[in-house]
Amino acid sequence: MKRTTGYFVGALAFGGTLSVSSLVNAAPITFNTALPVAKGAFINREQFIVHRFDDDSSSTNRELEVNGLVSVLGYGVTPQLALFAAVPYFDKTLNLTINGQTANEQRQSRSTEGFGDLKMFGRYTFLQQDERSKTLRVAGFAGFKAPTGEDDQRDSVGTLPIPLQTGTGAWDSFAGVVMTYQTLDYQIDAQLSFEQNGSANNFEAGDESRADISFQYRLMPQDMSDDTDSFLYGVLEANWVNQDNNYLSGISDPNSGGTTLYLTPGIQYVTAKYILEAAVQLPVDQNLHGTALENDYLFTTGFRINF
Amino acid sequence: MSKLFTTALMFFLWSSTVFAADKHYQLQVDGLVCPFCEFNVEKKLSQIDGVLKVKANLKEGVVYMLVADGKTLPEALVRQAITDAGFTLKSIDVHDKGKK
Repeated sequence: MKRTTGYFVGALAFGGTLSVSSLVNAAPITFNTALPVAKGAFINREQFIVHRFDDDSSSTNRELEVNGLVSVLGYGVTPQLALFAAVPYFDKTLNLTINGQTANEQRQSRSTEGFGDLKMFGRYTFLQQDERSKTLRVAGFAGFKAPTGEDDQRDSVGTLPIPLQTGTGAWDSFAGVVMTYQTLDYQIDAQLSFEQNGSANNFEAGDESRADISFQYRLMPQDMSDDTDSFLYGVLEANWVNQDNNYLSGISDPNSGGTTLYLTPGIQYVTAKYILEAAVQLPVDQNLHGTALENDYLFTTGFRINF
Repeated sequence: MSKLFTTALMFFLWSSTVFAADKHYQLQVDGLVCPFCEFNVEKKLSQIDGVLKVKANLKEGVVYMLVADGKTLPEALVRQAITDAGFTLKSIDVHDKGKK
């Protein structure tokens, strides 16, 4: 059972990425809190995500594959206040060895798909300093995750383990602060956030703290002209994620939680109406507890439109 | 393609001033830093009654507007549109050319 919750560390890291990592100008790829939205305008971001976990230190040799499509919709209520909603659709597969080191040893594969939990949050920009061809924005955000995804899916073997469920069954809340500084040549975004996770099905995921930073540098055109209307940015982001231990029936799971640092190179093509983007999150340092399943990589690609 | 469009737009703006009394507004907009910003600025300004054309110049941080003959845009209205788009209006210059 501990092993089961151990899987959840990586899945939560993925969920955390979805929640806040998809919303301000050109904006980061791995978090969403910086997405720019004008008053009365909408922004839509669609991200296809491929996440792999396969460095298992236990004898079950677990491999978790998560493919997801994350849809984010933002609306500008006022120039300062924007509301966002994000809903993922997951396709998950878990492969593991059962009855290991016995005559009955076999590889088992279990999978599921469906909508995940809905995340909604509001962002209020409390500092905006605009100058010619540069801007500084600082905003606070807060929101919640509603248990809209299924958390009791079954297959022929029985009820699927927690990391395979597309929903968590729990209400979670999160808050943080995000900063954007942008010039014509480059943009820097930084975010600090904390998520408090609720409990469901006798399981409570560990609370999560995150620090994210994104640097976007204009690669093309190198020299702007009067009619420049698109940018190609090179992107480098870093994501630090710390999660507390999970609780099962009120007992702390030693094979869960820990700290992961990702480095994320990426690319972004920015026009007036749409943005195309891709990035890969690589875990450069993972200090996970016990046999918690380690991240292999997280690839993200997608687009964003204004309307 | 974009150069062709810009050239055509500039010709249109020029010809309009020659054959009508439309006004040219030149707005200095602070905070305009990427192409994605342009959309909302152009959209908000285009929604103002009497505005015929809007074109942003990112490099200069300037937005050019062509306003119909007989229409005068109050500065407060323009400032609010820029604010709603998420930016800051620094200054407005109006070039009013009569029929020739």
